[in-house]
This record gives sequence, structure tokens and C-alpha cells, in this order.
Amino acid sequence: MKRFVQYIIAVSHILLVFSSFAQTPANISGYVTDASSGEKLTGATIFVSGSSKGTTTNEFGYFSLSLPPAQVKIEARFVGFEPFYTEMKLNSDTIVNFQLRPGISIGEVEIKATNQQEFLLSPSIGVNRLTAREVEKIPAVLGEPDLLKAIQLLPGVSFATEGTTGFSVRGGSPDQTLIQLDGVPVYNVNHLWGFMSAFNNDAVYEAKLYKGSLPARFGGRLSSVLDVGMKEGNLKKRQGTFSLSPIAGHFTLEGPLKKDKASFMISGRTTWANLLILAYQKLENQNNENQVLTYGFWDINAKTNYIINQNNRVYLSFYTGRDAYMMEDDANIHSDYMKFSYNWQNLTGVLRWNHVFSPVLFANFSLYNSRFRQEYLNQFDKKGDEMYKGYNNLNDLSQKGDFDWTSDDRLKIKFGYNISLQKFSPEIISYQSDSTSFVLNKDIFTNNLITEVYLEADFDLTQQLKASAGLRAGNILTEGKNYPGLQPRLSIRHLVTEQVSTKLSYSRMNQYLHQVQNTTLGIPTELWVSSTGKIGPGKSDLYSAGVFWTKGNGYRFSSEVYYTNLKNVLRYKDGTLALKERDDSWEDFVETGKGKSYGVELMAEKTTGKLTGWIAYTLSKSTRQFDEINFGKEFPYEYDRRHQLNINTNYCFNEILKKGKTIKRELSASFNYASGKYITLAEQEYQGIPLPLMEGSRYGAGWFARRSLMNSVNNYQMPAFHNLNLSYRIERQSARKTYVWNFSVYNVYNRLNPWYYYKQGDKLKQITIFPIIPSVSFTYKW
Amino acid sequence: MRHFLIILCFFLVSCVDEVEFFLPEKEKIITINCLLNPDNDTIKAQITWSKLITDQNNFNSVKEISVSLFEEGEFTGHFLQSDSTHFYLAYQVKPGKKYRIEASTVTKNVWAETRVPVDFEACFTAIKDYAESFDYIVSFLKNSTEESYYWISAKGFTWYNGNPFYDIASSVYSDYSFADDFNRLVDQGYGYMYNYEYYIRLNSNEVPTDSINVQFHPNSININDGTQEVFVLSVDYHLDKYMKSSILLEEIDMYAEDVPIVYAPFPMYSNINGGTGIFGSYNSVSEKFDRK
Repeated sequence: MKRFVQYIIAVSHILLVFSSFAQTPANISGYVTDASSGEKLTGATIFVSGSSKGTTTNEFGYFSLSLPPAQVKIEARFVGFEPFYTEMKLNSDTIVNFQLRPGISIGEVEIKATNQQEFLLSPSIGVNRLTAREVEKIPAVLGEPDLLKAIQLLPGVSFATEGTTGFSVRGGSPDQTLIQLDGVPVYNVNHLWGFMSAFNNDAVYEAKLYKGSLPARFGGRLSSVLDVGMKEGNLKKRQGTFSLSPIAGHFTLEGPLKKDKASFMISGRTTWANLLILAYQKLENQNNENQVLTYGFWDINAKTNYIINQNNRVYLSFYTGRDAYMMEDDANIHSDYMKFSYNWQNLTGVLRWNHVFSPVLFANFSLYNSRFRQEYLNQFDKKGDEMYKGYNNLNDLSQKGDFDWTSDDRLKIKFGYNISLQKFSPEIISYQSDSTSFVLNKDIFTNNLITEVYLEADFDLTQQLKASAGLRAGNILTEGKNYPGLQPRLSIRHLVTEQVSTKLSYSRMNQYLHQVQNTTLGIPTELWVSSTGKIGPGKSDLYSAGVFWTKGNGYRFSSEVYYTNLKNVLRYKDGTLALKERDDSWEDFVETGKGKSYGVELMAEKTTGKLTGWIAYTLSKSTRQFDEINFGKEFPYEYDRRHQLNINTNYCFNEILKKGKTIKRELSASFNYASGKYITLAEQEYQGIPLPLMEGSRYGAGWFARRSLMNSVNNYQMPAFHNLNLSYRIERQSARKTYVWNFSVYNVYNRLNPWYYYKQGDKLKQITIFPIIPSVSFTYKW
Repeated sequence: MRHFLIILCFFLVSCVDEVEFFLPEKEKIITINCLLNPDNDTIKAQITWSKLITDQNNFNSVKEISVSLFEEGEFTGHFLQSDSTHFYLAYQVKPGKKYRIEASTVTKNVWAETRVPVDFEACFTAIKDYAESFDYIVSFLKNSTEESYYWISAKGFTWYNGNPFYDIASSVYSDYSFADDFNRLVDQGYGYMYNYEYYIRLNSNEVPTDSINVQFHPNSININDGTQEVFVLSVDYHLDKYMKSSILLEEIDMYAEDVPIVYAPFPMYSNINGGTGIFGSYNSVSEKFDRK
């Protein structure tokens, strides 16, 4: 608490200092919003016509631009929106709120402005942005748009197994990507055992992936950050979306609570997998009606915001989702009854307050709570007298403040703090029977206090050289032990010509929590655990360099190289099973080791015109090393894919006007290639001997007589993965409503990509679960 | 968990393609299995070639191979090949001595070393538990000079499908808190907290006292009556790792066909340089108890 008070005092002091500096005579500040909905536009550019002076809006749509007093023509631009111009005589601080109207024609000037600001001029390296609209256009399995699967098409991002949401960024493990929704970490991003992500695309506004230079405002993970923003809710008019796919249904409603002052958005999604399963059981289990299987999931996103005045705005966001699997086998014989269930649930809530202290000092304060709970149950009689129950809990209560201070167009400063109270309760196990009941591991929980501050500055060194330097300093107090850490960040941009820039970056990252899992399929049986007195935080050093080139007509090209060093990464010891009935701390079942990865990423994009899309290629290698695993030798990481190629295109046909309706048609295609995944597979076997005392035993005799021969962990590389996916989208839009039909074919040429192998008798079997899959989905908007 | 697979497969794609998968031929490697025990006057070694995992034939013998044993670096003798895969050497190894086995063909040389654990003494006591079945207490002093690995269990007769088997206990119940938990389940039975698969393993470095006293109940042997033989094994470093990884892998292998998607195998321990298998040693103390 004392530390908290110290921080508050320190932050208040900084605010006062900056406020006193903030009296610049000519500052233009304000918000850029979508004129049709009133929603903020993040990353919009505001610049003085005919000059290089400009800035971009922050994540809340706010900008601040300092200029010498003069007659100026200001332009505001954003991709997909008509530009807005205003001319004024600038004598003193001026507030200008830009409302941009959506437009389809995109001129070269606009492309140049947006491309240059984000892609070419910023010192940031390895940043990719995807909007919900872009995700919607990417062909998807069963017509269900999925943000996390779309992310896997970007360079440097590799996937675990086909169709799952688990991904690795530049050789890091999935838990080494900070995935946050409206600034709140989401600890489990899976539905349906990892085959769908927790993000409902209808409720998402956009997502940004940071994988090269990680700004100092981000911390807590070793590899990357996926920053997902939820829609705010339309401030102008009420609108809704209803959509159906073969696997799920969505409903979204948004609108003003008070026009131009307050709005809301609520979006829900559920699956009808249960109905399909029940029908399947009816067909398959006609002779075994006592066996019941169910699986369901749902999620809800909700958000409201209120504009108090020009200087104050509050947001309240909420997300929850739950998956529930249950198998019950009631043989009508008491002793044979068996029920197994496995559930997991996320719950996040955040209250944010935007406050403009002065035109040059913008602040956002957040108070959030994020909870994740897994629960598994084995019940051996119907009444529940004999049962075994385990659960893992994680609770994160945090408060943070983020400040943007703009001195002039050559210096921008961001600073802030973060205080988190985290509680981990892994593997609490209760057992109950007629004769006894007990709870194991109830004392094995960890309370953490994480305190961090950061400062980052973007500044011009020369006309060609621009740098972003930052420092994040923090400490985790866990089990009476402190782990302090300094995390410097630096990225430098050199503008070679008006169209070409080169960039370098270095980031040191700390991760205070870990995820251990004993499968690599991305199915959510993993366990979140904290750093403890025994196991320290993970650390990484990320090095990146790149060349960036823009060309007229919306073309841009990039080439990046990276090298990543990982320390203190966790892995289960050999033979540890998830959901095991163990009474010891998880710490006894993990090994600490290190990893490294390096690679080259090439990307070519076309962002405008009828044909848009990108080609991404990655050449990479990623390894792990643990003293007690694989006899201490280095082995390929499960997500290591030597080559990866993704081609994603969208062609927009000419619009047709028919009976007062606008008909838009789009054809999308994606081709994906990846080197085979590494798995541990016995290709040979050798003769074994019974262990001492086991001679003549019937137990395990057959197994001990022959052993699988594996030289190394992940010794076998599966055949290469590739597929082609197509979708055709028809949108019929009238004044009040829109119908969208989406026809898609996944895996057009029916490539039988292996999902896993198993041995059955004298045969090795390959399982493929995504052959050619046609599907239709429907969306109704009003 | 099979049901889980069915669900996944069904509502994702409604069809799963299962195809036979063929592995390419791989170079075969030599397997040596040989355990030394000072109680035996003949050493037995099993030497075979590895084979493709889908090959259901027996393991092939290694032809024209010379197998030798060395004691503390001194040549002890050549093994004789008695049938296609078994090799014998009439020799009684000595506790505390280091041995090396070498096997050579025209193109390959493989070798391994082990040190036979020193002799030790143990005291066994049988006690009757509430269910009128026997529990045991085994007491011994741990080796004070070096790290030692002890494995405790019992053998007895069982009947299965009408046939008698002289079996190791399928599990051992105990409360002993300093045992390795790698094969331990929380499964209360016979008044104990833990259930260990096959053996209780102790690492002398993890036992804080010089004297080791373990009370346990061997499960599923001699349900009605008969003789039980209670053991303590002291095994060398390599055999200890081999036994531990064998039991871990056996448990994991159950999932290979049942729930293959959570199957996460790992390499089996071997100390054979240039090949695979195990060249290990153990010393043992045992006592028989007639439960009648």
C-alpha cells in the first residue's frame, strides 16, 4: 500500500510538471471520429497540408499537434474515409474535432499520408493491424470469422495445428503473447477446445499485433502483444447485426443511450454444437441411451461509454465467455456410473476514464479485473457421494494510468504506471467418498503484487533519423521475494528516401506468469502459474531490423530480420499429464530452461483498389533447451516452422444498383503453406527387458518387452501443410437493412493435412480433420 | 476421452479422414540389454537390432558380433552366443566394482558402463492391517558415502484367467513422504494416502534421515493366501533412470491409442553409446512371508 501511495504521489508530481510546461501558444487538439457512428478513429492522421508536420490519433482517437502561429490548412485522413480539410488562423490553443465520413474512393494522397505515418515514418517495427472488416473477408472454416486465425496469416506468426487458435509469434510460446481486450489481459482465448477464438468478430473493432519493437507501455510478456479493441457503440443511431454460421449464431445491438453523448454495444454468441451432438448420439447410440455427451459455449461482450464533456469521457467494458463439456455414462448400475465434465470461463471488466489535463496532456486511467477459471470433475456415483474435482483459478485486479504528452511535433512522450494484484490458485483438488473427503493444494496459491512504471519518447534526431526510446521498470513481489527488473526499449528509423526507410529495434521483456501445457494442440488444458520464490520471471531480448518501402497505388513492401533470446521458460517434466490427480505443487512438475529463435520475414501488401491483400513469407528457426529434458540437448520448438507462406487476396467486383439496393460482391482467396510441424514420434522400436522383479509378471509385460525408439524430443517433422480457401460474399444493401451471404470452401483441393498420428497394431494412422469443407453463413444488419 | 474426439471430429467437419501412414526406412541400431546382479553367477545379455515401429516380426539378432566385459578396466571375458539373441558369460560381478561392456561388429562399436551398488542390509516386519491382509515395514540404513537409489516392492501369486502369475504388486500403498512422487497418485486405500505404481522409489539424497523406515501395503497380490516376497533394490544411476523413464513412458503410452491427441511421448533413457538399451546393475535384499 505504501508503494502504491508513493506511485500516486510521483505520478501527481509528474502531471503538475508537465501541466506547467503545457502552455504552448498554438496547439491544435481534439478527437477524430467516424461521422456516421461517432466512434473514435484510432491511427487517423492529422497534418498540415504541404508540409511534413503531422501526428496520429491515439487509441482513444485523440490528437495534439503543436504548430507555430500562422494561417494553416489542416487535413484529417483515415483509410476508408473521405478526407476532411479545414483552414484556420492559429494564434492560440485550438480544439478541433474532426468527423470523417466513410467513403469508398481512396486517393493516392491519402494512401501516401497513412502509409507514411504508420509504415514508413514511425520508428515502430513489426506492427500489423487487422480490422474486423478485414477479418470478415478472410475465408474461414465453417464461415466463422476468427481474429486469431487471421493473425496466423501474418509473417512471423506460426500455428500449432490446423484449425486451432494457438499461435506463436517469432518463436515465442502462446502464453508469451499478451492478448488484451480493451486493455485487459484475457487469459484464455479459446472456445471449443481451441478451434474457435474467444473473440466475437462482430464485437471487435480492430486488433494490432506488436512483434518487433514493443513500446514501453506494454509489458508482462516475452514475445509480442495483441491489442484488441472492442466496438464502442454507435452514438448516432441504433443498429444491429444477426448472423448465422453452421457452428454458431451471433447477435449484436448498439446505439445511443443519449445521442452524441452516450452509447452502448452488446454482443452475444453461442454455439449449437449441442444440438448436433445430441442428434449424432441419437443416431450412433441407439443401443446405449444411458450415455450422454454435451458441449456448449457462449460469450458476451458489452460496452458503454459516456462523453461527459470535451475533457472527460468514461468507458465501461465487460466480457465473459464459458465452455462446458460433459460426458455422463449411466449404466443403471450404481458402481458403473461415471460423469466427467470440463469447464472454463473468462470474466473481464474494465472502467476507463479519459481526461484531457491540457491540450498537450491526455490521460487514461483504467481499473480492471480479469478472471479465468478451469474446473474438471470426475463423479463416480449419481448422487455425487464419490467424486473428484479439480480447479485452477487466476484473478488479476489492476489499476493503471497512461499519459500522452506532446511537446511539439518533434517530441512525443508517453508515460504511466501499472499496479496489479494477482492471485493464482492452481490445481486445487477435492476428493469425496463415503469414508473420506479432503482437499489438496488448498494452501498452494500465490499472491503477487506487480508494480511498474514506464516512460517512452518519440523524438527526431535529424530530418532522416527518428527514435523511440523507452524504459519500463517494475517489480513483482511474490512469496516474500522481490524480482525487480529494468526493461529498456529502443527503436530507430532512418528515412533513406521519401519511399524507403530502415529501422532497428531492441526490446527487453519480463514475464511474471507462465503457462505450462503438455499438449501442443492449443487445446485449453494448460495451466497458468505465477512466478514464485523458486521460479523466477521469464526474460527475453528481442532484436529486429527491417527495410520498408512504399510505392504509389497502395503498394508496400517490408523485409525484417529478428533474433530472440528467451530465459526462464517453463515446460512440464517428461511424463507429466494435464489434469493429473497430483497433490504436490505444480512447481515439482516443471523444468526451467531457455530458448532462442531467429528468422526473416518478407511481406508485400496492396492496400487499395479492387484487388487487395498480402503475400507473407517467413523463414525461421526456434529451439528450446532444458537441463532435465531431452538429456539436456537442444530440440526444435513445437511451433517451429522453417518456411511459411501466406497469400491472402480479396477482389471487389463493381457495385450494382438494382431496385434501390446496392449489391456488392467480393471474392476472397487464401493460400497457406508451412513446413511440417515437429512432433515426438517413434519411428523405430527396440527390444526391452522387464524391470527387476517384473520377470514373469503379467503387468506391463508386453509393453516392457518392446520400447519406442526416439532419439530426441520433437524428432520427427510432419509433411508440409498447405491448403487453398475461397469465399464469395454478396452484400445487398438498402437504406435500412443489409443482407450478407457468404459462401466459402475450406481446403478447396482437399489436401489431407495430418493433424496427428497414432499407432494401431502394426499400422501408423494419420488423422486429418479438415478435408474440403463447404459452408454458408448469413448476416442480417439493420 | 474417446468421446471428446468424436465430438471434435463430428461438429467440426462431420468427417474425419484416417489414412495409413508409411514411415521411410531408417538405419537400424544395436540394442544391448544387460543387468548385473552380484547374486547371479552368470551374466545374461540380450543383443538385437532395432526395427520399424510397424514391423510386427521379432527383433533380429545381430550376427558376427563380439561382446566383452571389463572389470575396473581389466578384460574379464567374452560372452558366448547361446541362441540368436541371448549372450552369456559365466562370471559373478562384485558389489562396488565398475564394469564396461563392449560389443563390436565389422562396422559398429557400442559400449556402456555401470558400477554395481554396494551391499546393504534391510530388516522386514509384517503387520496385519484392519482387513486381515499384510502390511510391511522395511528398515535399512542409507548409503552414507554416495547418492543411492532404492526401489521397494513385493511379489506374490495372482490368478488371471485361470492361470497363476508370480507378479510384482501392481501398486504399493504408503504414507512415506520422502518417496519420489513421479509414479504417485492420490488414492486412499488400506488406510494410506498414496498409491505408487509398481514400486516406491527413494533417492538417498532426498531422505533427511540416515535410517529409512517405510511402511507399505503391496496391492493385488495374494488376495487370499500364499507367500509374499518383499524387496528392496539398490540400483545404479543408469538403471535408476531407465526404470523411472520406463514407468513414466508406460503410463504415457496408454494414451497412444486411447487418447492420441494428448499423447506426449519422450525419449527413453539409455546409457548405451552408439546404440540403445540398458547396461545397469542392482543389488537386492528380500524376505519371504507366508501369509497362511
